[in-house]
Amino acid sequence: MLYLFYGPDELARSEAVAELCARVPVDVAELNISRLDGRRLKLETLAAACEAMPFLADQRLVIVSDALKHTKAGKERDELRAYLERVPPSCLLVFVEGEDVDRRSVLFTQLKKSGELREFQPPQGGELVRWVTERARRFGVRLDPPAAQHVIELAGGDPRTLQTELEKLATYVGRKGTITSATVDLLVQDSQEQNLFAFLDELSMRRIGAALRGAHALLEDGQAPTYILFMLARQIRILLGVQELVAQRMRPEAIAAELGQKPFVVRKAIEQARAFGPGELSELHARLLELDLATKTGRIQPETALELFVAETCVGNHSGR
Amino acid sequence: MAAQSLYRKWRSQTFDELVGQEHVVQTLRNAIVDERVAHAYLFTGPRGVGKTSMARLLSKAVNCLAPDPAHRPCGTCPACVSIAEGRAVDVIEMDAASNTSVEDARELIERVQFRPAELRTKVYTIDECHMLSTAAFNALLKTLEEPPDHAIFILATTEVHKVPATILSRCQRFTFTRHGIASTAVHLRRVAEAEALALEEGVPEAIARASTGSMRDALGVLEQLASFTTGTIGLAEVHSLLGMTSAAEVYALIEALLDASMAEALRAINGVADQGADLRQFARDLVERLRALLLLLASGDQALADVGADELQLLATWAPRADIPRLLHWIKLFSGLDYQLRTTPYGHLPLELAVVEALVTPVVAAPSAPPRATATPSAPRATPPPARPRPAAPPLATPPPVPRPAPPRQEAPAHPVTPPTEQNLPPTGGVAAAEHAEDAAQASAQAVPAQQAAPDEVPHEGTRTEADPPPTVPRPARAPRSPDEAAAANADFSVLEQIEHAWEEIKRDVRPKSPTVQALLHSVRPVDVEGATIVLLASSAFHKENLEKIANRRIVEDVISRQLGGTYGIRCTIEARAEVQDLRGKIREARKDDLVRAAMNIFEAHIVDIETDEG
Repeated sequence: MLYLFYGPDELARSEAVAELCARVPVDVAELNISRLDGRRLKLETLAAACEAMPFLADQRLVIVSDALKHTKAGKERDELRAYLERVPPSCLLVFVEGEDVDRRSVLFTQLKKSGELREFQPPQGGELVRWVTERARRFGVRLDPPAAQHVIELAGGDPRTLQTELEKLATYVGRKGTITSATVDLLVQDSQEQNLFAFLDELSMRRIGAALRGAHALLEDGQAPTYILFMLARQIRILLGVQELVAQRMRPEAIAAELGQKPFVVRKAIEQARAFGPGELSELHARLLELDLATKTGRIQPETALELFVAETCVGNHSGR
Repeated sequence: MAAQSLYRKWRSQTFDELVGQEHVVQTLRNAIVDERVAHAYLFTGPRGVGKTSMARLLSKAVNCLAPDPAHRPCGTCPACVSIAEGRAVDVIEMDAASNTSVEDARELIERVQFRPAELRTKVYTIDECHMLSTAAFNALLKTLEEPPDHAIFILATTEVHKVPATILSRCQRFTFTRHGIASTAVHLRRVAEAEALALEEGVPEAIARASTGSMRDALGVLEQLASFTTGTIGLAEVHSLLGMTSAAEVYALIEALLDASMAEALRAINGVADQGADLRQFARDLVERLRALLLLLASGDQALADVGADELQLLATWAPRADIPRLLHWIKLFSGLDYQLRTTPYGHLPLELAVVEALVTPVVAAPSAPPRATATPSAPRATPPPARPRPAAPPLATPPPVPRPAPPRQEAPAHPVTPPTEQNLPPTGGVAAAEHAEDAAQASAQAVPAQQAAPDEVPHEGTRTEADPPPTVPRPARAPRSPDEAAAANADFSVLEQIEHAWEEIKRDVRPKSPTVQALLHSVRPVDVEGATIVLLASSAFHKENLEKIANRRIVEDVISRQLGGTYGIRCTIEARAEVQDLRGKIREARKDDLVRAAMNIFEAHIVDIETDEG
């Protein structure tokens, strides 16, 4: 029996493999499972692993990782393909591919014909939220709906990362506990730069206290102040583009395509851009340039430059209009 | 063991002893109780916040023999003791900084397979794990993913961004936060008490502040202090050890700034300079406090300012007297000093200049505006800034409007400034008048008489300086010289002087936008101002043409407008205009006269007319 497991969802792939492994009786598992690395795979090794007789079990399990990717085209690949037809029925041969597979490869077509293909795509959108909630339940805790959204925002969409984060959260709140947004904030590291966006949000709303607090939180997270200044400049450039294109009455999707940004980034930017009058953004950009030069010529500390900019931007609101 | 460093001696032995990091402690405790210990942990955070301590605690907790899981690590059972003494063979601490190669990682992986010799669980602590090579990380990856049941990994690092994402996603990651000043101080007090060290009031806070959140640094400083001091450790010792300027001087300067007392401020600076303290450090300390004040004022959040209790009180007394625009202005001024102080041959002169500038220009947008021209109540009232909410703009005190706007002034009076504290103001101080002018009606009513007293006292070569157009001096009969015209010319030249003063800065600010334009500007100089247009004298037609290209012109105009705080245009000319003998030319000349300048400075005056000697 042949299997091909592929797709970017590493957690689901590993779990599927583990499931197959669980079919082999535990006490003889080590004797009946072989794991081979596709990078150093030789046909003889594979054949030896597959053709060995199962020991005190019905079947042998041979797991080969990344073989399709690393088998060179031509003779090597053809030989492997030819061997696939001769794999003994007592052997479960599983190919696990981490990256996307080439669907035109002869190995792929052969496996498609004679084996079972399973693709693992990470869940997206609402499905991902359901997935997270379900996983939390398995850990014996409840996940608040806003917290579910929040943990995805902070940790990103990779199921493996989410799984580890959920385990940590579940341990923190203890069995039968409830994970809230506050818990998530406390424990989950912001890997998606959500804090940065939140900070930019506060800044565009000119809420000086919240913006300064946001800047502080970023510095606490270990972000370099020069990086934050750079990201500020980048965001202002996006806002400039958005402001310009909105004035031309373009639709958000068209703007996103024009600027090469993701639609949700643009939608957010449209909201933020409304808070700035014409000319204000380019002024802010010019000011950032000055500060950038000043930090790089040692005339001002980057942290101070950042706070100055934040305060100026927010206070400028009262004087500018 | 003879002597052990304080930070090692005071390394926490149980979860209860650990300072801060409550979120990590609770998670790990629950993990022990619920038997949900993960197989890989990653501790990140700045130095001295307890990463290694936490790793040791966890090693003990998973091996502790205490019957009740909630009490693990107990710190007393054989397992805990052997780990604490560093002789447990199953707890392996590896310094990744000196074992970076794949071979090291492979060796480690091979050994992981063996069961623990004495304890329940093998614990591998990989400190500074960001130093591992990529290959070493990859070799670890598989083991981290599915380690044998008897092993756990703890990775600790200060630089998490160097750790590959594949490793990150397989570890339970905890971010350790810096210790706040308050909690560091509390811990220092506790240690000092136990070590029988007497600390003066404020010493723990001072040490905590210098150690920027690192407990190890803080205890290191305390230990150093203890080793060379007998008896009570005082603030002076702390300051001399850390090269800090005494906080008192910083406080005195801030007090003086808030009270707008120039004399006090300069005295504070001289005090610092006399002590031979590091002026740059002083400037940094000053900016640090101003920043804290800004944060407190802006957010109303005491936690954000991160200061000890004693300083918080101080900040609270300052807060009502400070306002954000002024603070911004000061922070800008003083934060720029670091560079100047490093390069200046004049000792603490830059610091003094900054203080004077901070006090004579209570303005955000026009840092170089000479205050003498801005403070007279006549012109600024004429063109109030379009939309800024002005608490009590007093049109009643306004003399006849001036046709041409005097842009720098628009910014000047607009910020709501806290009422000046009368007793502290020197009678003729620039700030006094400035603040009066921009305050409410009654304030300017006081200011005007003070200035009206000014004229006639300094007559010089027939030039009269005077504060107020209303005729205290008889107008001569020459028709074209209206006071308006004079005031306008006067305002123009005041702007021109500002530009000349800031010319180098303007050129510098142009540079990042276009080096070409900067090069062009080297060949021109400002010669005149006509209302909102600045006339530049170019040395050749080439320069004139290029500068007048629309893109280049806009750059220059932007920079100038920003520098002066207003909207200005520029115009280029090639010929030097013959020094006109009309009123404008004379005013220009008169303003260059030392005595006239002095008169204008002292009396906040401006020129309304020029009379020659025979007149």
